[in-house]
Amino acid sequence: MPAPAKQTVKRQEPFEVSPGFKLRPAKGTTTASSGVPVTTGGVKVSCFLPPWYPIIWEEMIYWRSKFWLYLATYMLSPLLFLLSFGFGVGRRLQMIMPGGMSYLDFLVPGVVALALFNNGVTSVTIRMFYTRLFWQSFESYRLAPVSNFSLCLGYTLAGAMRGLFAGLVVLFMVFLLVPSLRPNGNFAVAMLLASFCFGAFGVLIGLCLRSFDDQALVSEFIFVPVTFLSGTLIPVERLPGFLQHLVWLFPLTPAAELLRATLAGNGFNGQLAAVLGGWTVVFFALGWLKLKMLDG
Amino acid sequence: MKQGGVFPAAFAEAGRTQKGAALAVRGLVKRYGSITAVDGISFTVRWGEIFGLLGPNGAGKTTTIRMLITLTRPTAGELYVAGHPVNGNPVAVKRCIGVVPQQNNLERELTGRENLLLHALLHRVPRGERERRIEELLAYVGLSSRAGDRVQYYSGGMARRLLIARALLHHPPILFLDEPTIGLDPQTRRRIWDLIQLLNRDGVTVLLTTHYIEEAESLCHRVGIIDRGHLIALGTPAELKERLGNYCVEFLNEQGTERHFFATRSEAKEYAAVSASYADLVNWFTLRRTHLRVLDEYLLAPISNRSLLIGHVLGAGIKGFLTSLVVFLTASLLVGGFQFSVLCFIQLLIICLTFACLAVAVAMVAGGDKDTLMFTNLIVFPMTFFCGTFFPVEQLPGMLGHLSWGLPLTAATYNLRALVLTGTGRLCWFFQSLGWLAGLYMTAYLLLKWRRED
Repeated sequence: MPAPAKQTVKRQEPFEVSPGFKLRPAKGTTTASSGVPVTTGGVKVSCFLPPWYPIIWEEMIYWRSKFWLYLATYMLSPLLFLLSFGFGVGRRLQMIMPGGMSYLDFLVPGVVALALFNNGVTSVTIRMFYTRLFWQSFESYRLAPVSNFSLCLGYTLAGAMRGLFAGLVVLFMVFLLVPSLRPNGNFAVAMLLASFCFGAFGVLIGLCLRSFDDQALVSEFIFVPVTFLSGTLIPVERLPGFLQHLVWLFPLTPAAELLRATLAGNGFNGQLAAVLGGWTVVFFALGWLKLKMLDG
Repeated sequence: MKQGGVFPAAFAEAGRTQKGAALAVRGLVKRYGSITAVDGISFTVRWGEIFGLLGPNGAGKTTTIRMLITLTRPTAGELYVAGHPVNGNPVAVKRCIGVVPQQNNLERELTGRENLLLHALLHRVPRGERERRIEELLAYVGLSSRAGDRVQYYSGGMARRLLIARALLHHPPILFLDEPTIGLDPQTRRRIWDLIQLLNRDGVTVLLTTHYIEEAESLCHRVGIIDRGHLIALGTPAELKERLGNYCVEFLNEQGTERHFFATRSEAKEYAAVSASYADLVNWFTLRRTHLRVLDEYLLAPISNRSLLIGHVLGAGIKGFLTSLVVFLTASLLVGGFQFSVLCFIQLLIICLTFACLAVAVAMVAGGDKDTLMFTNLIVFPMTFFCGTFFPVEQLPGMLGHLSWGLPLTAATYNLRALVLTGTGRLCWFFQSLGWLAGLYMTAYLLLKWRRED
């Protein structure tokens, strides 16, 4: 075997490090870093943090550095919806309300659902899009000894958290504008369920995107129709005939209806929750599968 | 240099005593459609050696590595990493390997230390070990003083060193380096070589790809030469040189670079002196243009700012114009009664160009993916709702109705509506929209100029 160039390893700039530097294993630990017992002998090392935690951790770092900016962006679009639809044309929209409901009562849960949807889905979609196709830092996640399920779950939770936070901000703002609202436990559960569903939806879309054009396509063909038709700003009953049935294919429709029913104090509608849960399972499973099939 | 670097001695022993080969590759094939990237490659890497895959760009080196590190699925063939089948148990494989990718894939908005912490969390480095290992590795690659800076401000060499530190954080027995010194200056390159040798002395098995012959020669114990997906030679650098010749003379002439191999230095020199006195010995030099810097290419191009801006604005504006024509067509089928005139299309074009200017201006300011969402929320959304698109601005509560006339789209929307519905527009609205176009064009121009001179 040829001597691999007998260079004297003498570090200078930019490796300013002391030559006597040496690492030693800490007592009682093995050197392998996984959470499973290591075969080379030694004490079992376990790690109690869930494997998806780093994804959330990274998200929190971004929050920390841009908290106020995020807060402003979360507040702006719901505020626009409320001001323009609720207080602006809302008084004139009273006549389209089925069953004499006040339009504002109708709008508030819709706007909350939209906040959950927009922020939950787009935040995770954009993050995946950029880290996967642009910065390629998604690879470092794929190289971690973490199951695809955990990765999928981590991203879903990151999106859900983002959506949930936006939803809470909206709710707080709504309180200032419409103090008569009475959120309850059922409403909170509905919010959790919806945000998780949208997180999973975001993961699926994020994994399916192949280019910038895809992103535009998705926003035109999925986000815009879903935003406007899903019973958020206009009652489903007032849509043209065939659309009334078609919109139940959007995940936002059951979410908005569930939020509306629970906020009105009508109890937890099991059927709506089941539809939403079904979508969650479908999105999550497809995202998981897509991640598993990822190649290249 | 005495023994002992980043790895604890006990660990190095564990690596050496493991049975079998560190890596085993048998009949590896990867096809992308009709293109065969890797065509039946077989080799093994022993524990404790530095193995190099040498070959030109596009030979299949990176594809081979990506299959070994579980990121790409092989079309056919068997792959074992530390005795674990890559197909059967990818998570076990991932535990044994550290990867230094060709391209910087660190999280740019995190600091160096945060990047390492993220990796430690992902690889489940025990809590008590994390801080210590991170600080030690930062010191090891000489980045302690810059660890608190965001990675986006790192130089290429610093990013590469941080990538190496990251790959070592979970103490993998096998390290993969894909073109570890590409794009680095000669000095930094030698430092990276030193680092790799030091690691190897501490017991780490290394597989690296390179297209620098001297890198393979000085660093690797054994080298496999890959060309067009085939492994055409395998052996120690000495054996390979014996086969090919020790010395290579490269000429850069009108036909391109020619290479000739010789057994001894004197023969090579003689040939060089005799055959072409004008020829210059050239070094292999690669300039990588990553897709991340495409805009930089534009910015560096010898085109005036004005042409650059007009090109982008027209490109985006016409795309928007065509899209809105489709919208108009669909709407007139559904609703009917629209009066289309030349003026109405001019107004439409003005709207599209205005937004193209706005988009260019935003693109010049935007820093990254986090900004995209922000700009959508802060600019596009208000514009969508407050510009008289869905309902008259007079319907807005209080001052908002008046304020909305301060948005670029409002006058244009009103004029377009009037033109389409009644056939006549209003001159004041037309001039307002024209004013917005001019203003945003100037803004975009100034931002572009600023970005280009920055």
